[in-house]
Amino acid sequence: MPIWIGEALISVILIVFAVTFYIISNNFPAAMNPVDVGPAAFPRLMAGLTILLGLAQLLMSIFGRAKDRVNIDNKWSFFLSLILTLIYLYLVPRVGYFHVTPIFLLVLMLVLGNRKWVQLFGTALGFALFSYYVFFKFLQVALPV
Amino acid sequence: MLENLLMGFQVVLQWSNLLALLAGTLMGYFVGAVPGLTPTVGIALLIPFTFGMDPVASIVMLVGLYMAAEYGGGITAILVNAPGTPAAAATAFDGYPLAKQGKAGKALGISIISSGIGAFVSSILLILFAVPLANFALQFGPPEYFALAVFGLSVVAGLSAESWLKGLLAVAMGLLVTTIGLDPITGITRYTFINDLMEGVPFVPALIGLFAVSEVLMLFEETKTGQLIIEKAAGALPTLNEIKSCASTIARGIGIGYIIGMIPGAGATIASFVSYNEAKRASKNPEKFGTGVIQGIAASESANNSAVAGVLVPLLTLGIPGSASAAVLIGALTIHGLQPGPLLFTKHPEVPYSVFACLLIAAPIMLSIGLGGAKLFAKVTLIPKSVLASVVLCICFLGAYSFGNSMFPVWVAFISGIIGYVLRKFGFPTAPVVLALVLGYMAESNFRRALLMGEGSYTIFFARPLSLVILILAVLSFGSPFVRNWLMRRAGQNVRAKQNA
Repeated sequence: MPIWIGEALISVILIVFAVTFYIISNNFPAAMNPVDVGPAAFPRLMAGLTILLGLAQLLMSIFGRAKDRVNIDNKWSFFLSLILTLIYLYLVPRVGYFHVTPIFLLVLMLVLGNRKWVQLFGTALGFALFSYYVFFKFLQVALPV
Repeated sequence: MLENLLMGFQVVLQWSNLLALLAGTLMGYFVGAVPGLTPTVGIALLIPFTFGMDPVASIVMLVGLYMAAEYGGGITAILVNAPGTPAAAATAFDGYPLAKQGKAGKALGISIISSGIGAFVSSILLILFAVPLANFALQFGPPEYFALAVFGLSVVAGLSAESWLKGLLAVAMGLLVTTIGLDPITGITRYTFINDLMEGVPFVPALIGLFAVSEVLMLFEETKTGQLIIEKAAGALPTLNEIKSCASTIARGIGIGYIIGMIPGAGATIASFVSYNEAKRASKNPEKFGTGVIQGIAASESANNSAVAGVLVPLLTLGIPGSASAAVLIGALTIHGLQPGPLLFTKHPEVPYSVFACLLIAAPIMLSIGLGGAKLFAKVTLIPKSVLASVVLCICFLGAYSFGNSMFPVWVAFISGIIGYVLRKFGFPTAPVVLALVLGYMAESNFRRALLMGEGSYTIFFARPLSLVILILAVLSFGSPFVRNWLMRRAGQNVRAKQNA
């Protein structure tokens, strides 16, 4: 993708984000103290700033049209890794951290190209033990089980 | 004072207290290195273990942890672009690029040396100037805090290497995000579509996402089938000449870190960013910052470790916690029946002077462990990227989960990671977003409090000398990169004109 298109898209998204924040701020109550600028002032100021800067960036991107391109290398493994991560985060609270994490690590490393079984199983098991003894037992972090 | 200090050394140098200091330092390295485990968390976790200990031993252990944790954050910032503490974020700007060049040992070495010198010298400053400087810190009211926040934000121009417009846009976005949550003055909810957002977007998981998770997503692209080791680790430490070249940067960082650390609520993160920016401004080659310049690492690390001593100024002299970690330290002192403040120096002088002695002894201990471990830590770059990316990702999620004991911070880290990845891909810097997340709440809340103080008049910001000075510095700080670039372009044009003539 040409970089200028990405820049323009990001600018548009930020402008929409800022406009949304601005519109929602209309529902904030006014400050009870007349001297206080109120809860809506800062969000509106920042939203306004974001809109102005976003428009400036948008125009700069469109008129500048930088020729560089942005690519995602290894698209297949990249997107698969992303989807795996999403599935992992979804499953952790439902299945349990210590059940899902070693499998996630194993599969992720396989997707990223590692084929050394010692490294695969060693890392998965080692990390599970590390998180169990250090975080769950010693630091008393209530990981989902 | 000298007698009390010697007494402090006598107390700290007892075997039990030395062991406590060593244990605290080692724990501090671990806590600091793991993203999501902040020094505050480490201190809070260690307090129960100190119940049965002697008060001096427990305080010495906790202070040792605090100091080592601020350095520990730099280890992962340099090796995997995952700052273990927010204050190490600025270390990653040059530390990680240097590690990618195969010079991880050099980066880690400069980091620990700067931290060690910073910690040692600031401890001396603490001993000599704690009381008068505490009174200076008390002069900071809402107008000064707002001015300080603006000054902190002014470094964005220096952080936006490619495009100042993209940097400003990133800051604006970050500041907008900080308005999510409870309004600081009225307490009404703003943009809290889910209950978890009542306290706003949690900063530490967002930092983990923007830096570490986005880096892992970059690594997802780089690993290929069958590819194993990418770089050879160069564990060589910095040379003496390289260390000498950082001398002025470290000195500046110590001053900045100590003074900013002293101001309650300011903290090591702001100190490290400001120090980094000042080092860049003072450099003859500012355009090289962000590519692996050792002065960038030295600036950040010397400042964030000096801030530890700065934070202890209001804590010990006035009983005012300057940071979340200091607040937890007050808890530790209270548990042992000690009340920080002026009376601590008269009723229990062995405690504050033991802290002073502990800081002076902890710095060389930390330095020894760090230098000794630097070559070992540098070997992380030998780990296959498939393993590194997977493990770092899981550590990030673990750290984020530990922050809030729920999945919400984990999702914040993941979504911030995707945002950070996209921003980086298209040349938008993420550092200004972090800066905005750190300073947004401080800026808004103090702006509004100042207006309440001034009964609605904006002149309050200019009528108070300290506030005015800081605002002027902020304007100068923001404008200086543009002025410098203009002067350099003009000098270039003059040279070309002379050559053509």
